[in-house]
Amino acid sequence: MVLFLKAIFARGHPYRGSAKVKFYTKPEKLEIVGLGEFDAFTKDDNPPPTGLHDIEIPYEPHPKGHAYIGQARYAKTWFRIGHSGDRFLHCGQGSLGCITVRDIYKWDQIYKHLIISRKGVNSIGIVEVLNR
Amino acid sequence: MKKRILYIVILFSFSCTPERYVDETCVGNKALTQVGNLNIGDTLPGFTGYTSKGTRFSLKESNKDKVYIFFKTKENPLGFCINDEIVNEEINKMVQKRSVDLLVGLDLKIAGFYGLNIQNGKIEKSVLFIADKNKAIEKIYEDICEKDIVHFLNEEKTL
Repeated sequence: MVLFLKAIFARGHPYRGSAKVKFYTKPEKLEIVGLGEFDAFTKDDNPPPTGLHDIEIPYEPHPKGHAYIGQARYAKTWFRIGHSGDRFLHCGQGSLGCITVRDIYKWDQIYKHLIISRKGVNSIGIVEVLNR
Repeated sequence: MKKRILYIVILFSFSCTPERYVDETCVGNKALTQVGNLNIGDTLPGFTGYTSKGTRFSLKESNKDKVYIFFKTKENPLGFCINDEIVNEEINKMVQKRSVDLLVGLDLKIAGFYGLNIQNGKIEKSVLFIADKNKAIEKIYEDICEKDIVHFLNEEKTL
């Protein structure tokens, strides 16, 4: 009932604007504007290309996130970087070239921020990869 | 009374702290020539990781004579642990004496990349990869337990 009333009286849509994310490869750090900085890393010899990339709206749960489900409820939600390929923004302790957030206990906080952000119909925002 | 004390001692000696590296009953390991697309002689796929204690590691940076990568089936709070972070004292001591890097992991993404089967959110069977200093796979074993690893480490040369 409360949710129903909230829905009736809510003004506009529930989404915020585009998320702005920066990933620094040296030193490794993920910065989310309006949320904070987090420990993140990538594979040494296969980092995501520098520059701007869309962050796609998640399209399905990733079973490989299950190992961290005890630490992060949304560990199976991975955000694809760009609209093709297999680089993702996700939480975990091993990286093959994704942006891997090792602050696993903070992943739900990141998820909740990103999931209500929108850039157009396919994306939640932009990540800038900086090699410095 | 003695029996009761003995029972309590046994019970506590096998209890696990949250970071305890838990082992299963040994059922007999099985040597394999292939897992997924990885065969004996292939180079171990590279990856970068962090252990739960914050140690950064990259497979290509290992400079030991041997690299052991052990993917465990058991549900465990650890993502990865390496060498002296492994709580099993026997394995820990041996790793320090041998020219070996031993990485224990259950990150499903890396396990999947190594060709292991993943069922219901966990690795189906424990698998150990043993590679030389060039990261070429020498041996692959399935259904591995800690005692097997101790046995293999015994055969490695000391530092």
